[in-house]
Amino acid sequence: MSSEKVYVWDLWIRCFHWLLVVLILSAWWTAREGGLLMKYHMFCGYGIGILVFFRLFWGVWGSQSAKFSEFIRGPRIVVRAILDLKIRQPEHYLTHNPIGGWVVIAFLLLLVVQFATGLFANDDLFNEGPLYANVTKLTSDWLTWVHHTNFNNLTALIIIHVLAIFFYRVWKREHLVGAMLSGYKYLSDKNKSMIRHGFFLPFATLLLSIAIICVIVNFRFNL
Amino acid sequence: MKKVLNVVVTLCVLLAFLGGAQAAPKPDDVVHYRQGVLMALGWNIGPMGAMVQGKVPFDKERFAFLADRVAQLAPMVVEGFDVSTKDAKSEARPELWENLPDFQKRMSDLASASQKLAIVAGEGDKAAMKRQFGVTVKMCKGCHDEYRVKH
Repeated sequence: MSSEKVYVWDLWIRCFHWLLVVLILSAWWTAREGGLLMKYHMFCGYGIGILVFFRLFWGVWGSQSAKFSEFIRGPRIVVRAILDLKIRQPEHYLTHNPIGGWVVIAFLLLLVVQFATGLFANDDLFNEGPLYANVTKLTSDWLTWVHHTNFNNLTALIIIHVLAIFFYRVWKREHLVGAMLSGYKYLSDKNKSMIRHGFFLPFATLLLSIAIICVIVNFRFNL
Repeated sequence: MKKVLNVVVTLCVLLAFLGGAQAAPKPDDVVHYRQGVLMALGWNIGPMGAMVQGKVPFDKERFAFLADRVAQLAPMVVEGFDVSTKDAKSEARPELWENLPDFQKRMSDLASASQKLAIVAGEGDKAAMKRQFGVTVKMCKGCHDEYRVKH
């Protein structure tokens, strides 16, 4: 089998992924420091919100490899993929494998919860999420608790994700990090390109995501 | 003479009651006391934070006025964390009572930091005020993270 270099991850997905890494780390650090840095924590949060919305849209009308319909598989296929983990050879998925596909969904879900609860959170000092004024202190305290607790879920999933990448590298000899950096995977059969080219559609999607976040952040229920 | 004695005895008994009541406040009252002081601290820190973050215009005089209040209030908190309140209903975590000396050290650090904040605020250097405000609120957060139930 000869391996062929296939363009799998478009620039937008790669930017999404690595910006998300940077923003989650920054959000974690600014929250840990707290106080005056919470301003930047909120900026990180808005950035993550934009990224998540972009990803959701790109999963519907974006590049083939990014589409949910391409990598969300039923339970039978997922179970098979889990059983196939013991086979020591690279897998040939043009996108996320059936397990990874659900991990993507889990990540997006946790991030949506994290973003949404952060909007209403408070730190009992002088920092409040942009929608704090819409809820009672009691509700805000509860949502703040969810925000803190859900971060543990997110951390757990990040650890699982990193360990899985390591597992594929060592056990299955797959360079997934390299693929997420360069966009190319080395696959052994004839493959079509998965990338949707052009600049207008992704750019419009990004603008739409930014607009949505701007509206959410400035929303007042009692208007 | 007997009448005077009566009055004196009655007064003594009354005073003894009052004295007794003051000597041992109920744990719940101690908790209410500290919650009140902390609430008052937050009441004053809130608008300072808004100024520091540029949400409202920076008013040096008002900032200094609030900083003075904070400097007065901060040293009052620690009295409310009496061991008698260990089992009272509150947001203090058990770790607080296990590490009481550490908590008390943090409280005295907070008191010094807020005193310095009041002094800096009196001098009127805006950048220095912001800086010292940051130092002070970080101490608030320190104990919230370590010793208060998670919100």
